[in-house]
Amino acid sequence: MMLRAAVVTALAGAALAVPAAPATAAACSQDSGVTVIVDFASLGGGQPTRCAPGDPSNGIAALRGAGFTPTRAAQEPGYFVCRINGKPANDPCQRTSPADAYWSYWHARPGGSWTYGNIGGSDYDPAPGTVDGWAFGAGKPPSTPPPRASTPSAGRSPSTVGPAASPSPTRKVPTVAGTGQATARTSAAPAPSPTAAAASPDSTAAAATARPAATAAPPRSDIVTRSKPLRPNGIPLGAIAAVVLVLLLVSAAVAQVARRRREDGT
Amino acid sequence: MAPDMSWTEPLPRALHPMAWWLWALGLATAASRTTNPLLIAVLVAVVGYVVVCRRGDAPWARAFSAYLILGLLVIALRVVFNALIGASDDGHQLFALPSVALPGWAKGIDLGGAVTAEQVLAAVYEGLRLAALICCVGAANALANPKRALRSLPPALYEIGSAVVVALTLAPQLVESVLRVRRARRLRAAPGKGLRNLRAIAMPVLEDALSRSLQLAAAMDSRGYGRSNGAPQGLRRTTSAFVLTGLLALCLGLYGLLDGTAPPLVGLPALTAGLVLSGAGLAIGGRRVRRSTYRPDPWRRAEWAVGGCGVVCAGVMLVAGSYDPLLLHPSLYPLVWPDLPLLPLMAILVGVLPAWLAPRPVRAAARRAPQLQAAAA
Repeated sequence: MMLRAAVVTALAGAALAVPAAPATAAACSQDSGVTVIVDFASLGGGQPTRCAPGDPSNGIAALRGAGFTPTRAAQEPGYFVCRINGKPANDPCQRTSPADAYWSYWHARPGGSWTYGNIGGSDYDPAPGTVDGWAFGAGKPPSTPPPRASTPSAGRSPSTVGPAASPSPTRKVPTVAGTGQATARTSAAPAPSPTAAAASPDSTAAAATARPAATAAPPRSDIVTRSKPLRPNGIPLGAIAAVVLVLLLVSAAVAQVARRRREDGT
Repeated sequence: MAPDMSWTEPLPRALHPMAWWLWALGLATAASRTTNPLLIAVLVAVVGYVVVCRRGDAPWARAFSAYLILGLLVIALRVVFNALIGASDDGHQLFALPSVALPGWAKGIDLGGAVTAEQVLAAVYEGLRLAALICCVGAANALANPKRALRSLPPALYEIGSAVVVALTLAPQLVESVLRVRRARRLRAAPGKGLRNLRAIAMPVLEDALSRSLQLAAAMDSRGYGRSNGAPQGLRRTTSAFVLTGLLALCLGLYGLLDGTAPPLVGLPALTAGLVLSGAGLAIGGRRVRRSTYRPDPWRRAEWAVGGCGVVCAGVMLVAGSYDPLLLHPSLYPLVWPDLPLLPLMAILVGVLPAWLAPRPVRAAARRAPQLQAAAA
């Protein structure tokens, strides 16, 4: 149920990312955006390099803007990225991932070297023209060096970008793969619950509002104040049962205390 | 005459303290594996009910409410600190605190700012788990006689045992002292509440608790605890080296087993090494200590049953957690109602059985009452 909700949200995010982000499948030209590299190498994938156009407000927005779909850990108040494009699927995505298998976040100047991000993706504001890298593993930098900026004329042709980065985006298009995977999984789950369905437009709205705001670059534009009230997912039968059970036990305890008082009294 | 086959309630007696500790630690293990607030609420209610049903008249039996208050305090502190310095990126905003801009090198920390429902709930879930652990320890303290628990320790552990008992009885001792001092003040018609009276209460309480701890230490010393018994120094050093290293390895091993992210070498190997080392130390040290026990605590069927309840509860919870961890940790992003999974709930409800399985405690008031009635008649 919970898992399904997460998957549906991820699907909605992916579906949104495709039309809303004109992400170019290569490094950005000059200062036109933030280049994002996601290193799937240790998960048996490639290292797609894409461009998040404009000035994304933070690292997560840049990741989304480049057409990737991050998933957050379900119980962490900070935005902890536990999966990108649904990988790795074996991470439970509840709390932070273990220290030897997590998505580490890296920054670089174009053509420079990787430096470890000391600040989480939701707090760091990458400047246009820089390179963001995400690598899965025990905190090792992405296996490809940060690409040099592509010249404006050659921006659309990946062959001239960088020697190391150019083959991977053409060979592997993770958005399509990710979307296909998510669709397959959703269709396996027959009836997404009303919350899951209702939650996904929320996240799409959130992403959509976050992106135009990004150009104005307010520091904390990610805080989404939803006007909707907190709404349960159906009837919370479990919670009702638990409350009844606790009330039963507490009243039995109170009765027991009263009996003891009577025995002790006088 | 054929023996009466109908079930009769066993005579009131104190249960073996180790049985209560086993039960409480089992429930604490179960609580540590989940952040589901519904499961934890049921668990705390279960623990409270058993305490109310089976606690005796002893002063430490009243300590449970103090542990409950401590648990509430833990939750409140967690929520406040989480609201002050926790990160809140998105979610349902409850209210906004004034936010403080920090310099670049401290950018990962948010001081103030928006407080979201998810963030508060995350703090409550985590705080509830810690509060449940505190309640379990408090229940063991309220139900088990700490002074009798010392007797069931192996003889080689006597030297540490007295330290352990002083440490374990300190909190109940303090609660008892507070109750005594407040009662004395009430009898003298002094106002019992208010911050101004804190000083008037605190000094006698600290003095009382300290002098009682010293009394306990003196009493234990006069009964031969912590005596070297004239053993050669080399042997004593070997014993303590074995026992201390063993206990350290045991702690490491337990930590490795309970914490899923610890390196594998810390888990079972360290636990085994610790068991072997401390076992050897206890065997060597135990050879030179000979002590007889006056009125030993029996370990009968009720003890097996109560201890078994704790073990079953912990075991089923561990199995359920490895089978489907998502059930024990409800999601906050997206915010959903937590489920009440059936198998863990049953495991926790097994923990309430000692309320009937354990024999009634011996109670001075209940013993006195029939005599009073007889005298009145």
